[in-house]
Amino acid sequence: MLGKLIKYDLKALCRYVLPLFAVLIGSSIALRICLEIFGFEGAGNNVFVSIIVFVVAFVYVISLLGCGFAVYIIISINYYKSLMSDRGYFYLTLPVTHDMHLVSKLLSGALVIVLAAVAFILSFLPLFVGNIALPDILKFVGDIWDLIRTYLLDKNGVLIIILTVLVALFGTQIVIYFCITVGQLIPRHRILGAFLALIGHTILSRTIAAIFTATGFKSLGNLYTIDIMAATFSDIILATISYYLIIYAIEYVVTRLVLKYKLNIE
Amino acid sequence: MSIIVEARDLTKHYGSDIAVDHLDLTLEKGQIIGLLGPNGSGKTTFIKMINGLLTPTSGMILINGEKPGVNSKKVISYLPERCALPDWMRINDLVKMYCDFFADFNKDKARTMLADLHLDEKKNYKTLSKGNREKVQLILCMAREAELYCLDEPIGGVDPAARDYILRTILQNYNEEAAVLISTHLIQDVESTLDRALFLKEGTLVLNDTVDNIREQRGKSVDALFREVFAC
Repeated sequence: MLGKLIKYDLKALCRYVLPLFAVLIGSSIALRICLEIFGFEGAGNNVFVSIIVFVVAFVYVISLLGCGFAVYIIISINYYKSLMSDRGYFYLTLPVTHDMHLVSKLLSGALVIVLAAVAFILSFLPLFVGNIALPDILKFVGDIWDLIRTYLLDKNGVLIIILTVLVALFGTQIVIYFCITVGQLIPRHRILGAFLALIGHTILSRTIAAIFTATGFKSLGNLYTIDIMAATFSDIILATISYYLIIYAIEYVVTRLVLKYKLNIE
Repeated sequence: MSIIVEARDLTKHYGSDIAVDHLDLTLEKGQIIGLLGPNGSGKTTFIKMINGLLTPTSGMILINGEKPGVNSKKVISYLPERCALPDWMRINDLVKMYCDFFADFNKDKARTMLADLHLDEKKNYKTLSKGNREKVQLILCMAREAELYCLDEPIGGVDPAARDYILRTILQNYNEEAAVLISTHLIQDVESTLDRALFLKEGTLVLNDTVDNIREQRGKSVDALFREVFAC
């Protein structure tokens, strides 16, 4: 059943995100073609050509900036419509558990986030291919990786990578689902309830993090120096990610409990 | 006859409003039951609690002896009062989806009913009129071999000709192993199909009797009794 739920969730998401990715990559190709035909100088000399290049560049930049944001908006709307709106009358009467609904939404959402990252990277290719040699790009990526490995990922490297991927793929989604689900506890003001839940999540998680940070620095006392900070950098990253993973785990459990015991589809 | 639904002291509040008030009720298989009452009497709330879409404020509801959950959803075919299907799908995609999720879904039966009502499977659900959307939803619901059919206003939005077809379809699905719970205002239309009538008034059960008893002992039709009980 989980596989079937994921299939239909992916279909629902892909209806919106695939055209978005097509616009992103298409506008990147169009921009490259414009620059190939007119060049930067040509674009500057002719008003009509300038407008065309500007519009294409504008669409590309907006798609690039909006891609990640739009993906999360689409994921949020899909969750809300599937489980909290009229469509909930169908989905919530399917013979599956609430966990399956949540896991399906998380996995399909994660796949869409990965696709968005791939589309984001692919959109650069039309602009760079031919202008920058592939070995140069690979060398640049290698250099960045060396920097990360040297300064950020010492003893906890693999663990940090795994946890970061988990947070990136699932963390924000869990917060979204938590807020929407808790929001429906306020009858007739569910969207307002979701925003209040988001504000509550932000204040509470940041406050607790600030208290931990302050306590940590206080315990270091006079020993606190930049050297100590640098030496324990990966530990700090690990602690931060772990902290947020605990928050997400709690919010997943609360979401599940609200769906199971406090569901009120109006 | 075995019990399919059992409500024990079932209560549901919306804030200070009481939708269902200490309801004690059992529904048995092998019956077509009319859940009747004016607007706001708690009919939809009761049906939603059967389907696990609302959590009771107090009391409990059991389906085949269990609280609403995966097992109850396997045996209940629910037609909500509103269009709940994903509207971006074509009708044949919806048929496939029902096949995917419900083991008791009879695809051939659904296709026959779609053809009978002249509904083109290739059409997008979104492009259908409200009445046709309701028909598709009802067909998908009735094409299941369920133990309990919960139909919330199944004929409210459809034309009289389709109404007759739908009522015939409901009758054809009637068997000793299934119960049909119909919530409606159109009592005259459904009266001839009902075995039992339940009258809900402000969340409380004011009548639970067979249609035959109502006619024989009170000398009235269900419609006439309804008008008497709920006279404004």
